[in-house]
Formats: sequence, structure tokens, C-alpha cells
Amino acid sequence: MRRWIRSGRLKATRIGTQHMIDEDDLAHLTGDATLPIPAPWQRTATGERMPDVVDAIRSSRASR
Amino acid sequence: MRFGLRAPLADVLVVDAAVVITACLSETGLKALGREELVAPHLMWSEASSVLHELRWRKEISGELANIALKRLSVAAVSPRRPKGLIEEAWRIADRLGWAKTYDAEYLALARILKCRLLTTDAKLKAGGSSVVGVIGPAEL
Repeated sequence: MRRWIRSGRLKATRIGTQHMIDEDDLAHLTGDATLPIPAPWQRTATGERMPDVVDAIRSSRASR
Repeated sequence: MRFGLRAPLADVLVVDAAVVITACLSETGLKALGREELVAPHLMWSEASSVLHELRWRKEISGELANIALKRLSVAAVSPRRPKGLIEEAWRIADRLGWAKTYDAEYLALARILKCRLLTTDAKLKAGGSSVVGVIGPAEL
């Protein structure tokens, strides 16, 4: 993570000895945002494909 | 908090909005999580209902599915918890992990205070939060 900050790939604000980062920026860099979910959770109650819930939460928080 | 009147702490599981929303939208609902006492900070209900509303607003899910999920959320067997010091602990965890926001830290803080694990579908939360408290995904249940 320090390498990403030093190279400018990850935005960070330094406060004392700590780097403050935005979780959304980190999520964009790391990819694979959702852990494996059991088969019954991969389809919705109405038969649609499960939306990307983790991404929806991150987007919702970012736009508050 | 009346710890003595509740189930042993080892049987308690904190759930975050990601796992609850996924379960509420799914074919089977929250049944898969029936073995443990599920708890969450009040934040979870605000996040879950707002995200469901936004998913419908963006037409990523149908109105019918949004209604099913909202109904499940409103009757979900998840107990709201706000132990003393929750916000302060979330603040400390966000500081420790270098996070700008305290949303994820609040779920970790509740699990830490209750001495139990956090269940999430969020890989980033698991990767970052595992240094603070036990964080598991649905496949580890």
C-alpha cells in the first residue's frame, strides 16, 4: 500500500506518521470486491442476476 | 447492555449491510444465517434500505424485487445494538487502519466490543478488518 501511495496510484493524506486513505480508492485498486457467496445467494428472489451489492454500498457512501 | 441475559457471546455474529442486502435479495433470504444470533449497529438498516432504494432507482433491480428485499429487511432476525463506546471504538479503528470514513469501522467496533466475529461479503473489509477482529465470509459459515 505504501508503494501505491508513493507512486501516486493511491491518494493519501499524511497526518503525523499515518497515511489516511479513502476506502473507495483502495477498493478500485484491489479489485475482487465481493467474497464468494453460496449458490442460493447468487440469484435473486425474482430470478434476476444478483447485483454488485458491495459496489452499490461503496458508491452510495461516496455520493453522500 | 445485559450480557448475562443473552446467548453466549461465541454464538453472536455481527452482520454488515453487504451480507444482509445480499441475503434479502436472494432466493432463500436470511435462512442460511439461522444458526447464530445476528446483531448489527443501527447504521446497517439505514445503509441497507438506502442501497436497496438506490438499486431500484437506478433500475439495477426491479420494483418487485426491491419490495421483497425491503420487507425481508424489516422483519429480519437481526438485533440492533449500540453498546456504550461504539462510536469512539469505530473512530479508533478507522484511525488505526488509516481509513477516512468510519462506516466499516463501526461494524468492526461492534464485533470487537461484543467479542464475536463479523460476517461480510466485502473482500476489502475482510482484508483490512481481520487485523482488528475475526472477519469471515459466507463460505466460512
